[in-house]
Amino acid sequence: MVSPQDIRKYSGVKVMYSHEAVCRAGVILMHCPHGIILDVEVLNGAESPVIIFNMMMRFMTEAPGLIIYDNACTLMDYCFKRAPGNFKHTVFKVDRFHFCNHTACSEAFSVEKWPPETPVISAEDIVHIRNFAEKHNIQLPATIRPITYGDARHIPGFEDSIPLNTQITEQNNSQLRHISTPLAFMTHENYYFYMLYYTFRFNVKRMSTMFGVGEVEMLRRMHESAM
Amino acid sequence: MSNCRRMEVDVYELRCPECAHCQPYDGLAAGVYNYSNETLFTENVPKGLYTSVSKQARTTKYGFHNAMKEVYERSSSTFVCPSTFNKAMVAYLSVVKTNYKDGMTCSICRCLPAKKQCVLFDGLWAGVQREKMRRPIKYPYTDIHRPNINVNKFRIVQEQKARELLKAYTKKEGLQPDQMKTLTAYLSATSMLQFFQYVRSFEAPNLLRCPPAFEDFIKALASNSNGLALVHREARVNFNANGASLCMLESWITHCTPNNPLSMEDKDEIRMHFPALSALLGTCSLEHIPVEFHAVMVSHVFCTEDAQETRTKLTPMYHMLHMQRQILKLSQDLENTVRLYWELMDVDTTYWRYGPSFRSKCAKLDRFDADKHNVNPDEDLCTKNKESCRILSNGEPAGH
Repeated sequence: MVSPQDIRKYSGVKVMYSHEAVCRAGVILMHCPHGIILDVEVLNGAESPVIIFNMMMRFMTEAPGLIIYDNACTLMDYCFKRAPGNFKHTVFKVDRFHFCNHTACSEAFSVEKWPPETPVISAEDIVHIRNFAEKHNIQLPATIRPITYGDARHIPGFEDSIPLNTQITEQNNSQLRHISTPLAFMTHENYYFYMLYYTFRFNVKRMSTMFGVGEVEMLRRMHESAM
Repeated sequence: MSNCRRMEVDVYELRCPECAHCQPYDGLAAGVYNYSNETLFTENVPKGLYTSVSKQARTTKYGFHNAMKEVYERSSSTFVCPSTFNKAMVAYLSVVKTNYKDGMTCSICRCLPAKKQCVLFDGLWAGVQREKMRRPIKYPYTDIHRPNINVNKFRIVQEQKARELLKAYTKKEGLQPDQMKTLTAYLSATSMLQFFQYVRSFEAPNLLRCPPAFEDFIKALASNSNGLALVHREARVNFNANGASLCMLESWITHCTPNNPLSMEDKDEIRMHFPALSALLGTCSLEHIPVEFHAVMVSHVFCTEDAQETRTKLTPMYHMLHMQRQILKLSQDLENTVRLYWELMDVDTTYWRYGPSFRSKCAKLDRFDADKHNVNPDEDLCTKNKESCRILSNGEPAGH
């Protein structure tokens, strides 16, 4: 098969190819384990641990206790080399879907290799959450269930717990992918506003499920708090 | 002209509660969305669009417009054209009142301390065209940790007289001594971050001079050789400090007041790890250093390519500084100083939102590069005049 380079070399025909992609790469989303989108970062190149590191440094005053990312092994190296003091209490994990590709990585990055009853949000944390919300007048859902690494409902004391869904990012992305087509034709400002408004509506939908109210009612609450 | 008819219209306007400016009537309180005084939509149209986009699979605006058009044609009425509909629906996003801050916060996880929080990251392909990339992205809400940089001028500088003085000051028109005194008094009462926000709107970073509030600090910096050596990138000393002492140093710089002093043990540890900086800060009064400048100072000490720990609290400064490359330029050299040391205060190490790799790859983004380089305000003025001349000579705006 004749390559474009050969055509250019031998026939003298000038073949024009764009050297870079027309569109930028996309976005990186930060989720909480309940499925709420916390932050959106527009990528300007390939997805890399630098973006994740910068997002955490900007968004959070302290490093989180648990980070789940499909390239967590590299992210851990990057974070520990740059800011070992900030990330000294942080645990890095690879999600279940992508861990099979990490053939040369330690099994410590797997969520499933750890005991299933390892808490992400324990019962003691829920008590703390209730007290904090009552003190600062924050509305909470009626039921908050503890989250563990695996399915620990067969273990006494963890009957009420739910396993950590490491695929929640992929599940949300499958819904967010619906807007990728109109987004590709927008200007930069419209792109960002559209993306943010969509993620906002997505979060409202998710919160309405958490709080057990309708989406319109949740939107009304948001509107009132914005006034 | 026979087809022309005279119509009586009611013009609605709203008064801003903060200032006396008139705002266009958006009509959202009455369930009507007024797009640029051209077209009125019931609010169900944009709400329906975005609800369908968020619920149904791949609903495009054009598809929704076709559906709406068909509904209107059944009742023998016309609907707006697709381009107007598209513009109106995009403009609706900036009109509708949404609480992005609460909407992008988990009410459960925000009650947990940071060390017990769990976050998950993943990428999504949703590309924007390269040619349309413009500037660093701003957030639509304002947060104390992440203030929005683009603020209207009248909100930053509320007094008109002060605005006029600042404008004259930055444009080198010359000020009388009493005017300069007034301006100095105003600057001393204004946050430096707000001041830089204001000056940035004139796009004249070359004309920006060192504010009087900084001069004491800069003199102290220049007179202390240890401090200069510490600030100098090549002669970095004692960078073996651990994270705890870094945090302690930050808290000392930002929170050390006579009412809230550090203990002697903490001070000793800081002196041990950061002797030059400790000596430097001891020479000047902390009251003379604006709070925003602490971040710059700390960033010069610690923010190198391999140490980014202190960038956590520097986001507002970096948002601002990548627009203003040369913040501190003195009108004349101070005694016992060398120009090299002032250039060290230039904090243009990286773009905060766009990393250096992006800048090197995308050299063709003219608008973006205009932010990087110092823009000559005269050239801008000339180009604006040319555009206006062209509009006048053609009789029609160039865009039509």
